[in-house]
Amino acid sequence: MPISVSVGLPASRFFRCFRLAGVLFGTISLLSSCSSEPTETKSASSTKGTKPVATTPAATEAAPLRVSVFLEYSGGMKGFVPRGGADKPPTEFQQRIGALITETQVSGAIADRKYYLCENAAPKAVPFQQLRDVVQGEVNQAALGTELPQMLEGILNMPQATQQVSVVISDFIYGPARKSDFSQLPNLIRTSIAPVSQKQLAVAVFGEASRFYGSYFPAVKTPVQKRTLNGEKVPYYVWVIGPPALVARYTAEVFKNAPAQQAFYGLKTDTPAFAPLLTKLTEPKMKPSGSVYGEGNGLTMNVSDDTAEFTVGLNLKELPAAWQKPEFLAQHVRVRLPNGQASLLPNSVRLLTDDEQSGQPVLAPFTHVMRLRVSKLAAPTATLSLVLPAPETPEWVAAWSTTNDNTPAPRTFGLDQILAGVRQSYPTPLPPVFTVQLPLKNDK
Amino acid sequence: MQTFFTSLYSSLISIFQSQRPADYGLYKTDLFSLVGWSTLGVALLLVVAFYYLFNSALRTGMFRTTHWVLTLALAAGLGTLLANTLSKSHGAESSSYLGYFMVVNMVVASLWFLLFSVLLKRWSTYARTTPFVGPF
Repeated sequence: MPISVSVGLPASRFFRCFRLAGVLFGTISLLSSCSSEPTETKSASSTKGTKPVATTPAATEAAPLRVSVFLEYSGGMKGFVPRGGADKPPTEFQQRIGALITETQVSGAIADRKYYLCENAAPKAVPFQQLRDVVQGEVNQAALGTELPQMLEGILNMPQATQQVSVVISDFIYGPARKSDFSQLPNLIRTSIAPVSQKQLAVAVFGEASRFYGSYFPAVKTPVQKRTLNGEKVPYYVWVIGPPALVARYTAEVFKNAPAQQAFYGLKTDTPAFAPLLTKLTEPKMKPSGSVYGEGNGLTMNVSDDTAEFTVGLNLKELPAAWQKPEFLAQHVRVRLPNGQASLLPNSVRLLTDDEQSGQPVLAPFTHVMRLRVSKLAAPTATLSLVLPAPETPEWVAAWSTTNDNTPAPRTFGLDQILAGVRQSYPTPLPPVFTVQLPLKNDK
Repeated sequence: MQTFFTSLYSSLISIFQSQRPADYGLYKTDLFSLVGWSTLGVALLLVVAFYYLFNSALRTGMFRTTHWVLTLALAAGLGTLLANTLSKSHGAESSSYLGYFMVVNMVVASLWFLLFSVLLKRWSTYARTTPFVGPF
């Protein structure tokens, strides 16, 4: 063959080496061009390996939010809505409720909104402008009012009441006409909100003390039937009643500027987006440690020598603002791992910053991260669950309750009993707010 | 074959490092078999080139053990390179695990090269006894 030229000179060896090098170099370039080809075709499928758990967050578009706002408009409520003016600042009630109904009216999160005044047992539908007029004190005459259980019953008996969000704004002063009713307060409330028990609706309670101008009608009628107040603070409440996930959404997306006193019963969010974060992280602190990797839709780990630690992302934007706080979550979130041992690392719960979310695309679907440690895994497979158990009635309720409200104060007659009636509508313990699960596999 | 490559590589790498990295799933599903096949192919190609192209079809005189060792070194180098570039291009993160994977693949490439040499050398015209005589 022509390439094999035999030159009888000492230089021939030298040239032969060159030839060898040239041929090998050609082979390399040939190979590298071959090997770069499958890169293109395989890259699409490779994502499945790197991103193991895909609980797609945006895939499930939430149900439309339908809201009915009920404002009790009786003589006892008039004092919250004095006719203001440039020289008179609005009451806390007017500020808070004015903002709430405006947000309800304009929020893009709400598909449909209706407004009602509760003057007697049957709520009266009114246009938004009229409700706003009432809140700003433009309407003078108020109705006699109805007793609390009847009002709640009337609201929950509205058509579709159990499929949508009902927002009830009232002072929740319950002074029954029949004295014997006092002994049955929790039961009367529980009966009046029977659909809450039957359909396991959620109830969110927000309380605030507001300045009050006008006639105050206490539940306890002695020594005086009514008092005229001039700016003393008395409480009013906003109850949000409806299917748990919708109440959660309304609370998180519409009633963002809620007062500090909050109580939630039966609140459940849709399963939040949740995933372990293993790869494509730039922050060293978030990277997993130990022998753990994503496989299928779970994790495979070996914790026999060393514990495995990894960061998980959660989207908790549907939780009430107070529950989104890292301190609250760190205190309440429970990690469960049957046949093993897992824990939430202290001080590891935190909110993601915008920079982190935009800088690291894997973090984009989540609002929070927390770090978990698995120190024992006895079975070949196990399921790790992250649960937020529902907190019981918060402590402020007791402080805001009184057995005698004849002297006005930021306390409500029998609030603890009224809310006990709400609490009794649910099983003990309260159902968890959310549960997310992560399958684990033992790596031999 | 994927299981073969996975167990081959993961057991060899575990000599150096038993901890598995966060993106081990990627190695398991994609990289081990991809790199495994590529390395096998490269080793085979180099063996065929050495014995049948340069030492049968062509008479280049490159039949000495030195040439064979040089080609083996090339196979080993390509093995390291393949492990690195293919892994990186598929999204593997730089880690000690990837480093050991490169080392292991260097050895694996050399072993394939040796194996194919032994299997195929007897049909070569000029390099039948490179690097050693026998076994068949």
